[in-house]
Amino acid sequence: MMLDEKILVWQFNRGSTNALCKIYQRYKNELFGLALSLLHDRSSAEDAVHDVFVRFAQTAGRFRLRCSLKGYLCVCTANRARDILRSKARSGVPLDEQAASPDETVHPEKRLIQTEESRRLQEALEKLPYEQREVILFHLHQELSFREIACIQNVSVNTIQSRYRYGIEKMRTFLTEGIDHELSRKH
Amino acid sequence: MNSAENIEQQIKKHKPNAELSPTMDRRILTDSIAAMQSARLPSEEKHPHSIRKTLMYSRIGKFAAAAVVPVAIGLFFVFFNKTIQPVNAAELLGQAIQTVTDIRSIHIQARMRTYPHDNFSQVDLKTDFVPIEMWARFENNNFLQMRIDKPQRVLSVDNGKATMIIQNEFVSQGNCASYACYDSEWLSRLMAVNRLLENELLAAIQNKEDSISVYHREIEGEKHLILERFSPAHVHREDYLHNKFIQDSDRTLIYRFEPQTKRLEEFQIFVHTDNEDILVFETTDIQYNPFLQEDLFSLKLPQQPVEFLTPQVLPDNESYENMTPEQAAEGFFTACARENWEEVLRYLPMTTLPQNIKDYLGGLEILSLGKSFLSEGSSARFVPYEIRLKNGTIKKHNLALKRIPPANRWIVDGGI
Repeated sequence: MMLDEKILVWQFNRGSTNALCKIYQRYKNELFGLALSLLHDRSSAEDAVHDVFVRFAQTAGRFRLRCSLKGYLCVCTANRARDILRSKARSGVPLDEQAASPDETVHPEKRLIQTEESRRLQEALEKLPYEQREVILFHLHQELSFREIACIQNVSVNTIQSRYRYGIEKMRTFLTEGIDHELSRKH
Repeated sequence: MNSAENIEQQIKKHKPNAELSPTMDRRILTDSIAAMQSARLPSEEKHPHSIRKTLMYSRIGKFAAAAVVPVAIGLFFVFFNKTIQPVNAAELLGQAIQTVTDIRSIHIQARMRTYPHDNFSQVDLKTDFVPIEMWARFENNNFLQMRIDKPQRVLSVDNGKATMIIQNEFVSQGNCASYACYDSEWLSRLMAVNRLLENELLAAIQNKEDSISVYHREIEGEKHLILERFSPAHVHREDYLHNKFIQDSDRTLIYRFEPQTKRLEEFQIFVHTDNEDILVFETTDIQYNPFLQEDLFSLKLPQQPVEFLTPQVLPDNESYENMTPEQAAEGFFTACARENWEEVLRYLPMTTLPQNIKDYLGGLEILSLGKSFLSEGSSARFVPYEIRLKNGTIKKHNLALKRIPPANRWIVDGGI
């Protein structure tokens, strides 16, 4: 754990709203990006971040951090996102098709390719079991180490590495199958 | 081709770069602060009347963190203006200046994790507390006299003249117009209670690395003003001196003031390590305007005082001047081993070498000397050493050496 993070948590536990604000400012966009990757819906992603921070704030004075704060908040966000997905699935309300917008500064043709790439990746990710998907996003988007993820999820590093490896391997299969399918259509 | 590496790169490339909407951003922060203020903080058994305990017990929401002055990120200030009725920093400064003007003398008792004879800012996180006592007399809000006592180190400054006595044997005297000398800066800052709140607010505002929170808190039915200031160490975490002196420590200073008079009621310092937050200093009693005996500030010198001397140029000074720190360390320890005290005095200039130093270092055996290194917190060079003392004890430490003009040869500055 980084020292400044540790001190922030210490101050947070002593009731410092300043510390809470710093933690929020530091991680809000990362968590929002993670929630967006998992939910593909801006409004639901915002709700997830909201719920994570409000619940985190309620732990002031008794919050105990064993691993990294960022990792902890990422896992909370992923758990909250899963709850939202389950709830929406139960109620039958579809999530809006509103993933992160493509970069406007990129050339339109390139953007089209990027968007297509993005769509295929998103589809492949969504086909994965949730546990594999979140580990891939934690590691590749949030840059959390396998050890950090294992520490926060209270499972072994081997389990996390397996989830990641299987996830990437499945994505490779999905994406290759997708390309083969498209090629066979063209011919 | 969709290799695993390729897929990893693609996923990384498609990381969403999105920001929360301003409305939602504000809502999350508002709701989080409200949630935090309604959270109950746990109790703590230690230090029954300490700030820490009362902060842990208290219900933050009830007292509403009346003033939060976040100086690190200006953005917050705008936000807090809308939510929790802050006391404006400038207003608070004004109040501090206006109210604490009637203090003519002060007596502070405290305890600190330090060595009884060592510098006033030295801390040792693993050692037990030793008592520290301080007195000061003021005239027109300026220091007139000041005294700080550690069990084996006493400093008095009277009308700008300082006298320090260590272990009732070593004496050092000099001018100290600032009333902040011999490593006592942070203590004289604490004793300057007339300007303490003002100084801390200004320091935190000027020092961008510091973060400060000021708020009201009810303690045992009475409202108090709490100021918390986190100051990062002036040295890196890997540095040899990190967390060894107050100014070289990652620390949080917690002040409790009486809200009307702005008088300091309690003060604590916590040093932060990777695993712990260690209380290293706390006041145990503060008396305002006590009667102080006139002779309190006139230290009684030992019968045969040993004085530290400024190293003078020796006839063969050049050979010492050309030494490396390692050679100087070897020269010093070799002289101790041979009990060549005249030679020892060349590295440790003082009027005479006290018998306890001779007994301690005489006849030692050098086991190893390492390569010298620097610290960001000192101008000294540190030479790692391992010696066997005459009584068989093995000591492993770092010898601090400094070049001091006009002689400019290496002088032992600590680490014995």
